[in-house]
Amino acid sequence: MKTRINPRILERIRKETEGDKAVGDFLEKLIWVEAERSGQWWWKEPYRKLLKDYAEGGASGAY
Amino acid sequence: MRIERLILSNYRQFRELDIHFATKQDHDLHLFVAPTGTAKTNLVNAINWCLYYQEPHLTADSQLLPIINLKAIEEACDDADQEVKVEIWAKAKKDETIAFVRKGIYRVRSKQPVHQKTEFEVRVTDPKGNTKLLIDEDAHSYVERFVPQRIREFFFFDGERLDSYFREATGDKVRSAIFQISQIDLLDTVSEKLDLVLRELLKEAGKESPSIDATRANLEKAENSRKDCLQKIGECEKQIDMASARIKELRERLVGMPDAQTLEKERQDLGAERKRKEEVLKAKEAQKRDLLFEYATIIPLWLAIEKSTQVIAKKRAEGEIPPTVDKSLLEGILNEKVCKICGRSLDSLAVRHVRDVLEQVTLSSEVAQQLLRMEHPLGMFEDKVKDFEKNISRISKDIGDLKADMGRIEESIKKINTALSGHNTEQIREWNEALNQFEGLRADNQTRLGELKEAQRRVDTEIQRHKAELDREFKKVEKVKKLGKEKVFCAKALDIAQKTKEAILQEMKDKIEYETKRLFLELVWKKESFKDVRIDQKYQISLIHWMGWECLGTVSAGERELLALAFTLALHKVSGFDSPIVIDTPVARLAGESRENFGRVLCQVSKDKQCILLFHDDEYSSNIRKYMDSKAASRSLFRLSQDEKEVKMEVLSNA
Repeated sequence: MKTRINPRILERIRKETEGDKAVGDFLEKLIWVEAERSGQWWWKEPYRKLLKDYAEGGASGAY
Repeated sequence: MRIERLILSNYRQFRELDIHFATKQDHDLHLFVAPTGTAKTNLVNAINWCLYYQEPHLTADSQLLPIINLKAIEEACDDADQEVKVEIWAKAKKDETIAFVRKGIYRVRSKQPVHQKTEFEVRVTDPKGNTKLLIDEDAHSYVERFVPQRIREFFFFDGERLDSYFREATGDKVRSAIFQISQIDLLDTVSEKLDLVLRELLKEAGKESPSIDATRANLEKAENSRKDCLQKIGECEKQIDMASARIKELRERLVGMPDAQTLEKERQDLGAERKRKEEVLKAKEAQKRDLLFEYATIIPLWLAIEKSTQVIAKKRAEGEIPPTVDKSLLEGILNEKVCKICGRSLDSLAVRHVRDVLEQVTLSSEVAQQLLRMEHPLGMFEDKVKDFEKNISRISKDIGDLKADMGRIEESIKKINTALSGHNTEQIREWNEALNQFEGLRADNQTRLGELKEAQRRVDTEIQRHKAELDREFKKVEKVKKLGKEKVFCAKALDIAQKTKEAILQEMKDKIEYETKRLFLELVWKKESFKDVRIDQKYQISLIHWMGWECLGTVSAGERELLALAFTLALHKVSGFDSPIVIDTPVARLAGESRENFGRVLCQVSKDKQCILLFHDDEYSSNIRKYMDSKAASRSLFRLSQDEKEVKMEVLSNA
């Protein structure tokens, strides 16, 4: 089912990323994953896959 | 979203109940009036059971009874299955009808129900009439969209508890509600998982480089210490919050109360002092009595004594005493008829003369001797009488002073009694003791918190050092460069998720604070009395009097209930969960004007929100009726059947 996401969360994520679109997109994607499929035990693999994909797209900043 | 229909089948006292919540143009207000014992509270329990499989408001009696209706059990054949079912039909704004249905299946054996299974499903019907059936997780996620379980008590609650709402709604509860309604829990879950992914990445890199692995192990150790430290800080802060809440509550209760403990101690000390002085006074009075008794014989003779001493003094002054003639010399002269001084013989004339002198001398000498003998005891009496005056005036002064002291003590005790009169001193004393105890607890925890925060700062520095070290190591080892890129990206995402969480939390808190204040000041009738409503960083709610002091503990029950209602409505508004509000016994704790105003406010609320109110029959008094009867979209009455095993509903009016 489609769940509503508090739009303020998504807006705030964009603000905090300070223009880093890849990180913003990655987090937004994860939020949707959690909202729609919360409690799934096989989360680690999709997370790693998403991380790999988005990080390849260009990460920035230090640790 | 509003409740359109509520269907109960074999649920506790309700054999069959089908309630239609029709809408009225202006108000979505639905009233149920029930005499005591007709289980109106079980209507709230039925909603909770259906949605969350819980019955939070069960009375002690109901807890002993099976959930399935007693009549249904009685009528069931042996080994037959009986069903208890609650359905909530809700209408969403886009005209979707959502039916939440929970069924419990019971097998009846020898009139005893044995639970077999419970099923829950959600049926979603779109405006075209297409129905989708949802079960398990999907069904529960619809419940969470309707009213999330964690904040259900802000939607379905007992009005009798509104008065103590903010005593029970601790900062934790409010924080949790804000977490839930703002979906911060999503960010929390994402953060937790990203943290685990990050750790896994570091472990993988550690397999390629022993130095990375060593630094990773150190980092993990430091992070665990930090976690431990944060947990302890959390516990400490919880204790401080709890103590602060209790201190605040006790101080509010003690506002305007005399310092009973000090006053009672003072009264006790004064009582002891009065007793001591009473004893001294008794002793002094006895002393005075004894003194008077002792002098009782002397005092009447005082004039005679005084006169006698005057006579003696006079005789002494005139040289009459002590006597100057030697009587034995004269007697010797008479016996021998020879003058002992010149040796001449005495003739008869001389003898007669000496005899006359002797006679005279004998008499005055005796008087003189007598007076001389009297002089000493008279002098003693005189001294004693002089001491008497001194002693009696000293004792009398002491008695006077004691009486004055006792008068002052009596006055002080009277003042204390006046200050304490009309107050439950035992209660005040208990509150003061509790206040001291919580102040001590808070001070201890504040000290501990300072130490823990210092420890946290040290660990944070250590963590930063290990992280910098890891960054350097990752750059050095060629094999882990790709992992390094993922690590940096993951860490940044984690940092942003956490920052977003904090920002949203603050934003939500501010919004709820603003809305609570706005609604409260709109609802309250004494608009000039209050200046502000605040929710602090610990999510503790304060109501500020126009003079600037915190007054939540001292306002009337009606005002406190209004604040609770305003807070609840603010949560409803900020959360975006446009679900109904169901209040059991909404005005039971209120009387007179407060009851009337609260009724008026609920009518006003029902213009924007579905309000379902469950009244006791005596609670639904004329001053409530005059506001609500005309505005209610439906009014129903619960009645207990004659065999007392079933509750039936009579619809009085329905739009």
